[in-house]
Amino acid sequence: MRPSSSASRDDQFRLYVTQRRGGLLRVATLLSAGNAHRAEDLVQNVLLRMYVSWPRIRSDTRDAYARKMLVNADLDERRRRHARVEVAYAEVPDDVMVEDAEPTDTEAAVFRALAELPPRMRAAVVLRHVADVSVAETADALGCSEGTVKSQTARGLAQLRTALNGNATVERGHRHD
Amino acid sequence: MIDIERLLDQTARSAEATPSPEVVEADVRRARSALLQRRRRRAVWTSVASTIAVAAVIGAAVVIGADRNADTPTAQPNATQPQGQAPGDDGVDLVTYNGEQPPGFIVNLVPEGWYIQKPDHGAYSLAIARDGDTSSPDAFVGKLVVGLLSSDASVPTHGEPVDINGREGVISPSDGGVTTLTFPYTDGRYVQIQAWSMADLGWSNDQLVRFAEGITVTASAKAGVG
Repeated sequence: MRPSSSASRDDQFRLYVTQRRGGLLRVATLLSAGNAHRAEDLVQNVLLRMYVSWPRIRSDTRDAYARKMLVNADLDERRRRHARVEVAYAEVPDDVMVEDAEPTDTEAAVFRALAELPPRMRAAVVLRHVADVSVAETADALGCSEGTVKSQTARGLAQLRTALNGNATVERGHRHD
Repeated sequence: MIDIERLLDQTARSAEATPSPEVVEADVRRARSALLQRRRRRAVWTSVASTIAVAAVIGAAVVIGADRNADTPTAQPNATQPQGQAPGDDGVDLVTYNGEQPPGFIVNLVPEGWYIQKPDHGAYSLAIARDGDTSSPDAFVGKLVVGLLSSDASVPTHGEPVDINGREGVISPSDGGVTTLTFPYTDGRYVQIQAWSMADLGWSNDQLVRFAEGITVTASAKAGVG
């Protein structure tokens, strides 16, 4: 018997989540400057939106699509943050997945430095130097020109370098690596 | 001197761990639930659109009846205006666009056999027309039109909600054969696409969404007024 289309969608989606969720979560963690709960929210949001649009997303563009949605979700959430109203739930939501893994001192310093970058600059740095995405794909994800990606990335790295140079913990950890 | 790229590469590696089966199944469960909600909203919207269409047909019939009673020869009105929902998967295919890009926008996909007309007035809007259509780029009938939402227009809220690269857009009810998709862009501005018409293209809303997802707005794009 042929599998139904929804079973096929579920199977493909399940495989995608198994293979790619970790990478997306890492990118989201850096976009969120180390806020693991926010990163988890972003990834969950992106994955469910991908599932809804699954038939329209070509298999060879899924990763690019996911990264674009992740960056959009990050920027949108920051834009909305000031207007956010806390919602009270009658019950504790299920599926709480985040286990707080304490960052090392070096990671904490990197997160603090990332938090000081403007969101789009941080996204450019993370996509280029963490997710290893090309300049062209980063430009597509951010909706800007390739020249803007290059300049934002260069300025972002320079700001991070300035913030972390002179940080004794980072320099000590770095020497030991 | 710190090697910042190496530092970044070593940060948050623990997040990359393969998710447990429970985490994966929770994602599948949430995703199924979101799809179900979307289908329910769509069903409600289709029902509302059908009611409006039926009301329009009844209204037309009443007018025709009144005209006949008056014994006045009258042209038969169009039976129905094309609705946002089009015939299905047999419409014009979307293909990668490799030609010169217009000012203000980058277009990745166009309907097969269509081309981007060079705008007369800079980066306000662009028209995509069938090959052989040499009408002015300012004439929009029969074309796909992409632009920023006018600075003095309000964002439409009534219509079918759709997902454009992770942002919620809305496809407004067809008005005079024109289907309009409005969605927020990464920089907070709103993009508006008009399809004249979906029926001519043989497109469903999903194809309009795919077209929209291929649009990039550049810094030089300008919103019109009025």
